Amino acid sequence: MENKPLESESSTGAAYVSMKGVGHKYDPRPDAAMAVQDIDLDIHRHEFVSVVGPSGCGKSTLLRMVAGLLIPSHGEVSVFNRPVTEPRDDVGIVFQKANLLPWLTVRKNVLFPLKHKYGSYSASDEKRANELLEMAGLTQFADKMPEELSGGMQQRVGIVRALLLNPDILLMDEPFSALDALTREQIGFDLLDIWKAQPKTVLFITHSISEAVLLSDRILVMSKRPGTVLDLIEVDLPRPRSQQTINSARFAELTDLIRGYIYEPNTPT
Amino acid sequence: MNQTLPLKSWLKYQVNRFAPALFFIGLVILWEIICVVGKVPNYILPSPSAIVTAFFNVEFSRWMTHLWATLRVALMGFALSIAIALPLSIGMMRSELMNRILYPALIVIQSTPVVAVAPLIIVLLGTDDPSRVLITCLITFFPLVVSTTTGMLETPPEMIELSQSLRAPRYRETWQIRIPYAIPHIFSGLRVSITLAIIGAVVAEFVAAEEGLGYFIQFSTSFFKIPQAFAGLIFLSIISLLLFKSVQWIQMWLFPWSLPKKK
Ligand SMILES: Nc1ncnc2c1ncn2[C@@H]1O[C@H](COP(=O)(O)OP(=O)(O)OP(=O)(O)O)[C@@H](O)[C@H]1O
Ligand SMILES: [Mg+2]
Repeated sequence: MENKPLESESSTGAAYVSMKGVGHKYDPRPDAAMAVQDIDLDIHRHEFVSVVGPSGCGKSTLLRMVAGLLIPSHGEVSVFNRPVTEPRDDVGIVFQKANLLPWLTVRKNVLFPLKHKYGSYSASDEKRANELLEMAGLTQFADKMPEELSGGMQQRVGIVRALLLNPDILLMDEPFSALDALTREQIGFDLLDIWKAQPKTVLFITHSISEAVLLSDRILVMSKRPGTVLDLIEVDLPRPRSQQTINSARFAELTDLIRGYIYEPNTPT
Repeated sequence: MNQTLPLKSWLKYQVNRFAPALFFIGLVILWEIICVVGKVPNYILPSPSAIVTAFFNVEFSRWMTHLWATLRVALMGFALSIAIALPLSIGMMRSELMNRILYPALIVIQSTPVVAVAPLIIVLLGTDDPSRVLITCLITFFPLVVSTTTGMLETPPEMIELSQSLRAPRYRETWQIRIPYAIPHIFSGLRVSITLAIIGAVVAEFVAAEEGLGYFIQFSTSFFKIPQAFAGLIFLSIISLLLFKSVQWIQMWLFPWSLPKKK
């Protein structure tokens, strides 16, 4: 009797994306350095996990391994208990640059994954693209070319494109780092709205500590190359997060904690 | 004061606007003056007026016959080299082995002087269009292969990762991502190639032909009709320039997004 709630607890909180002893070495020579090593991380379904760490510590490498674009040389990544050996259909990726195709309109860029994967799309797909564009406030730009949009709007299109195939897992590699501070904050809140409306398991890479704290449930802090886990921080700030969250004392504590990890060990002050 | 200033700036603006044309006109006038004052004989450097007169002394229909002969060979050679260069570049981009085998071969072909090989080609293929088209093709296809391959390889790696993450078939990666990304490069290759195509056709005519602008120039020179040879030469340059511009217009018309952004 006592076990029952525990069991259901563990099944809802079960690891969805799981990394066990994951490491990677690009260079196959035996004495070559690892790019990332010993990453153990379990991400629950619909959890928002951020990764922060110094440049070159292997964040993008980690993301590529979860995406199935790169098979780890050590350890194993699995999704829903299945090892990841190739890209999965239920994963959407958002890159640092929006990476829109300059010869397609915004709508056609959003529909591109279908066109590219299957060769065509249906009227109902188009309807879905329009709905997603509306949700992102881009309806009036649907027939414009990407170059006519601001950087922030282009990145929104990039996110909408990743949502088209309704992925369960959303991988984002420094998606907002090309944007100015104001746009960046706004688009972060918008991402949380989207995430709330269409829950997804998010792995979010960023260089911005405050962005990580503002958005995430948990934050993986990585060390310098070869990147490994320094800490896994639970962000116990209430949701929905807002401008007030940023002003709270806990927010400052958490950002300071992470800043300590990133700057202290190697800064000779 | 108030009136001279705008006038002055207006003049400056107009001069600036027509500077290229003015420079060109100035050059032609200078040329005419040198010829007339220096009494330069026509067979050394004909004056612009003599060239114009020579141009109109040749019947219009004869010009058209020669023009058509040259244009026909140039455009067929150009089309053939596009037809060869595109699949070749795709193959070299897709297959490392093919790249390793073909690249040295291409460089050897490119560094062989076509003028020296042209007579051999004529011996092999005869004195008709096919040999001239082949000579033109040999001159034009290398820049096309280089620019197309470069363009396809410069596709942003993230776009390729997007394609891989979708597990899309390779041919769609090529057609929907790589080739469109290569369009600006392909067109700079096409612009170089189209002017080389005219040169190729003329080289072929120098070796063996009974018509064409190259043949016309050679034949005029051998009869010491120097102003007429110059008229042919200038006509040829204008045609070459128009073809170059047409490639730009086609790019503007079909691929407006591929033009360099004006900042
Ligand atoms: N394709 C590759 N081949 C060889 N080495 C690579 C490759 N990609 C990355 N590396 C190396 O692996 C290490 C980790 O790279 P990665 O791009 O994952 O870092 P990152 O944390 O994403 O850095 P940044 O914050 O600058 O984006 C780096 O030292 C990099 O030089
Ligand atoms: Mg990175």
